[in-house]
Amino acid sequence: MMRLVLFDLRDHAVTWIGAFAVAVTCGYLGGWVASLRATADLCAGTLQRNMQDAATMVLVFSLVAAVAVLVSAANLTVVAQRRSYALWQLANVGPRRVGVVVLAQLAVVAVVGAVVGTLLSAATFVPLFSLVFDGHGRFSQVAPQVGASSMPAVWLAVAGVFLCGGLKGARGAAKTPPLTALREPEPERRGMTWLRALLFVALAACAWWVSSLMLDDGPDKVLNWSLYIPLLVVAAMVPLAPLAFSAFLSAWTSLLPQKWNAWYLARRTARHGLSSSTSVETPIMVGFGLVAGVFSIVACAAAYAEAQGAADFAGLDFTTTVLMLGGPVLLCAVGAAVSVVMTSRSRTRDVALFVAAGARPATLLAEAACEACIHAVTATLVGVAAVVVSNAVVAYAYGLPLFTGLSFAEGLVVSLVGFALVLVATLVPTCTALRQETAAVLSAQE
Amino acid sequence: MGSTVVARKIRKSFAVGRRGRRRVTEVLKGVDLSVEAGEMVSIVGPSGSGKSTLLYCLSGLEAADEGSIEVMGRQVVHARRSVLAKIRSGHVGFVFQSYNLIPSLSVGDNVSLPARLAGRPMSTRQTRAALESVGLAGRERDRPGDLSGGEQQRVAIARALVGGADVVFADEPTGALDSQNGREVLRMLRSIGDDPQRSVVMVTHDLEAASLADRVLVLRDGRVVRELGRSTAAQILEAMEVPA
Repeated sequence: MMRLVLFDLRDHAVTWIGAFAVAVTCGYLGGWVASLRATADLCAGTLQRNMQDAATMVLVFSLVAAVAVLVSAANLTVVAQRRSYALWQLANVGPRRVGVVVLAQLAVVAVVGAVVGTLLSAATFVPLFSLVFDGHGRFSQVAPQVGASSMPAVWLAVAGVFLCGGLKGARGAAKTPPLTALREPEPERRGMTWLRALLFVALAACAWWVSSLMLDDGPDKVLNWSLYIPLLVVAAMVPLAPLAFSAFLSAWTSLLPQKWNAWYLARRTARHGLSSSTSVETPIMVGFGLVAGVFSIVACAAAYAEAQGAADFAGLDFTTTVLMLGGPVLLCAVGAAVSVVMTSRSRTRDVALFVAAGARPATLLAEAACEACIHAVTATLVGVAAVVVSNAVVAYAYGLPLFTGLSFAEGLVVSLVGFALVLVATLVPTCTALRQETAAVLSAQE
Repeated sequence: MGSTVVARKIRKSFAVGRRGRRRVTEVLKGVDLSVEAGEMVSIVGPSGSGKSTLLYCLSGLEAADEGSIEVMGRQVVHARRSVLAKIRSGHVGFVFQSYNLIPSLSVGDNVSLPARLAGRPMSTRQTRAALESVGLAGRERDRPGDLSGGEQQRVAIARALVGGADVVFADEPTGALDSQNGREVLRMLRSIGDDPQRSVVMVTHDLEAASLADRVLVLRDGRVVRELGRSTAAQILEAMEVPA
């Protein structure tokens, strides 16, 4: 069986490269957390506590993005491999064994990716540590220590999340009759599932609980809790994605006239893409929501400090910003790029179909650009909703008007980066597809 | 009545095999044909004879290496992609074996797309009427995946017609259908061929289907080796078996 696992991974390396990239990124961030903890162990007193807080900050803020990106990458990969799994079943590999092989492949890719990521973090931790903590006087004396002993825990954690993410896909690959999988390469979308609803309720309840703790502590201690509010609100939006993204996309794109063919096609293609997976929008939404959410809450705190007559509110320094937002932004960038590249596999055929229907190359290129714009704007709008909600809760706790401190500029930088990545990932396959012979694409079964 | 498609000395080769062992196979070896408006032409021949390649070259989906192909008086060979797009959206409709409906569009959007791309957007009523004409009234909001094979093929025919296609190219249109749906699709194609303004060029393995055409071309090894008028399946089979 191991031969089947490894040979299939080798033969479909292009399909697995996205999942591997995500595992490497998660391993890299996990390696940083492990090394920050190892460094903290060498310190004493307040310094040790501060260093442990720094490690916790990286872990907590990266966790939402990591889980969202890992789960969608695992699922997308298994879906992309459906045809291959169907062919195995036709070659008499039993459904149960198919499921086991899929999970084994996910575990191999996750562990290898996480190992590479942790090795990368071990190689870069020491030079980057001084760069990140430069200017923090109390940390300048600390000797950074690579946390090699904790790395296996990182590998296990990445593999665990990866396996959980791919479990649904693996069961689907094993259960789907091979001929159905060959006839319909895209599985039917299930939209809002009970599991998603349950996750949403749990995260929303968690956000409510933290908000009530914050309100109980009074305005002077709001800052202690407030940074977790955008994190929890954004996390709660992730399971809600199939509903939220569809509703926002339909609403805002209907405001623009449908006369332009490129826009008309892009709107429908984006909506269809969203009906199969929200993996393109989710990383951009999470990245925007966390960055804009944190900066809004800091602005809110600054407004409160000013109202109290305190003139020395420092806001977020470079080190805190990097520790808090560096991980999620990196994960979201990698996740968005990987998701779009993986979901663009069917673009070649769609482009051929549009060409056969009489679409001009310029129309299809404009369609690809509009589609990227629709994905990025939709994700940003859902992110804006999350930021407005989290900021309103914090502003209320401070006793300030609900929209105090709302700040989207920093988050928009993340959205723009996301847009650029999605644009490349929609335009490049379209250009490539336009160069291919339409007849060859349409007559090819796969 | 004029010619809708005129092809002269079409040649097409493909490179096959991996790098280092690549060899060139000539699939079309100087094919001549013309199709008149109000005519249905079938192209038959054994597998690998170049039937589908000929159809794709005629429609501009595949670039012919040499020769001349005119669709409604517009040159297709070596034409720019934007010119080909204009010819396709203005004059050509396709019906494929695997239906090839666009999965991201609803059934109604699939039908109205060619007309829209040709700059003649259809009203909802027109789309509904087009679907009604192929027996699919009220299905405009469905997704292609919600339809059976026969229904998808009927949508493809409606799509080929509403764009105002002067020529419908059909590649094994009944290949994936059961006999009842196949007969229904052929009846629709035949009625397009009966329209004095339109013509149908159909590639098929099915000799019963080919016998519905006004003219049958027998292709072998990249050449038209026989040309028959209206013929029975038995006559077509005999023509295919007799060496050129």
